[in-house]
Amino acid sequence: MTPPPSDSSEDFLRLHAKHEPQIRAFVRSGVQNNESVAEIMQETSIVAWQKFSDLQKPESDFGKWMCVIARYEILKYRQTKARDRMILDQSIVEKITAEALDDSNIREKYLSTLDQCLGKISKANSNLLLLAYDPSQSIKAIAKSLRKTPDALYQKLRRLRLKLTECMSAEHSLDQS
Amino acid sequence: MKQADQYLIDRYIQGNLSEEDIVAINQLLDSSREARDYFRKATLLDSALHEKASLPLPEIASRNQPHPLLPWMVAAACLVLALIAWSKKLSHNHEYHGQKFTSNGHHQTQPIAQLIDFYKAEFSSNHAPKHSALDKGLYELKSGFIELQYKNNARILMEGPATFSIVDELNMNLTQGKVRAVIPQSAHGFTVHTEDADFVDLGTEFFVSANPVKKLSQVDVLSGEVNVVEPGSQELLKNLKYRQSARLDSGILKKSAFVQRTQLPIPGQLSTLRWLDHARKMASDSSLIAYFPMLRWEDENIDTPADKTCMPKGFTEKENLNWYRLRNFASNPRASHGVRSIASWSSGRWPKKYSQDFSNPKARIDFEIYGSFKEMTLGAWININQQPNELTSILSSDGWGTPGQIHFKSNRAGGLHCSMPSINSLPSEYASSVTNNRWIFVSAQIQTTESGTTSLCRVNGEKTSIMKGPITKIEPGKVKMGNWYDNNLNKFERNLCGKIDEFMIWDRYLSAKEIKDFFEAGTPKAPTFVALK
Repeated sequence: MTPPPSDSSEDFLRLHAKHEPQIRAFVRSGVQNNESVAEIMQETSIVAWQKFSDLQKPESDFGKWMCVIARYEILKYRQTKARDRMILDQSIVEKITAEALDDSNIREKYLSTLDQCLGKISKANSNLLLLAYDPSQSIKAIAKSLRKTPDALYQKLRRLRLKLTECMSAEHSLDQS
Repeated sequence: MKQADQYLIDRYIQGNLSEEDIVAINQLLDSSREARDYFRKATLLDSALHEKASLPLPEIASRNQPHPLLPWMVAAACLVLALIAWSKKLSHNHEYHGQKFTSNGHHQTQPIAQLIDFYKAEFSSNHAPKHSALDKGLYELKSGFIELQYKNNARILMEGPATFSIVDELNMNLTQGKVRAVIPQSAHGFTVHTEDADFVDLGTEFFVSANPVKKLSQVDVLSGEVNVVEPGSQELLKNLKYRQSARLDSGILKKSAFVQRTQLPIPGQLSTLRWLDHARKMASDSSLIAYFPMLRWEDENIDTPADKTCMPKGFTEKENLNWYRLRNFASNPRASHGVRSIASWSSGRWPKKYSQDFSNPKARIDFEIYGSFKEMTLGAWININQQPNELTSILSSDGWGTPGQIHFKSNRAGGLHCSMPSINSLPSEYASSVTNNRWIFVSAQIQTTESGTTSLCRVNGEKTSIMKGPITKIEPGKVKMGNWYDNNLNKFERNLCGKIDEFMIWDRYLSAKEIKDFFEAGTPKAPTFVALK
């Protein structure tokens, strides 16, 4: 391993911090669960740290460059986990992640519309949505506390996500890619 | 794009795919660019929501405009630490086993709210606070009462069963239950969200109840103003002011009469409820000659003892009104009830706990202790404002001279002693420990043995004076609480300028530990939160 010189370490950290959400979202498009996302993010960050000094234009290319590394790590991860059940075929993940590479520049802007769109649904609903995503909570427990069945809660969350996706698409379209 | 396809992708996101779904989603994503675009959007949103739900909340000072890079700076800092750790491992030729450095799992060290008091509270095991801290999340109070204090000083009193989630410092969801919110200026805008409405504080105290079964939400404004807002559109449904109420029945706003929700405690009152349990236990102690918890005559919080107790002699017809009587709640009484003269009802150690104020020079409570005793212990919670008299009487027999009379009093120097006509020499040990303007527990233990009679006084369980004299039977007879009556001079001159909150007289010599325990049990403080099941 050749870590970057100390002055470029700061650059790496700054750029990593800036781009992490969109890289994480990119990784999420290739694997189904959050444990896998965390594992791939870790591998991606290590590789990027090792190779950062090779990157010619870090300010403009860091996000996309990290996604390229992440794509490789996703595909590698899927191969190493081949014995586990994978939902999507390898060819489809290759296709999705290849297309997602082109989203790099606008993914950040798209993500930035989330707060705006959360503000457009009721506070109770946005709170419910975030509660459902809280890693310390389970859908079953939340449903029980709301006196709903888990299925009914899933339905409600599905409708809320759909509403948010529509809102975020309207604010900033990924389809431009 | 077909809704069915959107739902299929959403089921993938939620991890709810059937065998047929797996085949279908592979076919869909393979064949449709539109589906893949939607898939990427859905995974983007999912990832962003995960991030948002697991991020620490910004501090109050920065809540309006948090630094946009703050969460990621946290992640970056973790990355640095992880990489440094990794580099060190490599430099020592250790095998690298992996080190997580994602932003997930970072939690704020200071909780959003603190459980500052509770009474008979039971949480469900999966949704209980960790220690006394409540961060964002879901909580289920199965029964009992809790009091929360937010970082912004908002106070929330809640009665179980209640299901609620803390979102941030200004927002809580109430699915079910009853809440009293006392909101200072620092928490202006605090909102209780229910299924039917958002109740937005405009600087106030209000009561909210939510009943999901009946689909009812109710708000009563106790002071200030509250806005009732439609959750979806955020449309203002109604602005409520002092003593106004609103009810939402299946989401429809209905008129409602204001009702004072007295059943839900006010801040600090859980201590009073806890004390009532202590008082019930006290009343059943058969060694108590008299027990004056300073509850009103009609009070039903403690069982009224069998009517073995009477009023003191000389009790007039006029004074047979409940207003003048102070009940002796001892279950095995050997003293009369009290007669209040000039002494007034006042505030006690906790909200809605009462006391008697003896600030008027003629204020007193007369009662009579029957019989003679070899041992006796007096205990009282007192709060003295000032000491204009040379001596301040806590409890004194009428007059002075008959053997067996007792005078339990303090002086201006802060000394506390319990003298009898036969025990009136200077105390062998003497400390100044009666302090003004705070609640203190004073006690006097009198004991007659073959070697003589001794009286020992304590403040908050700590010994302050000992007096000794010849063998004397303890026969207090007619006594006054909070004052002293001199038969010869016919004037009052030793009133207690302050309040007495609880008074007890035992027929035995309590141990130092027992007295310390009474002090601990009655001290105005919240219990330590250990664990709730």
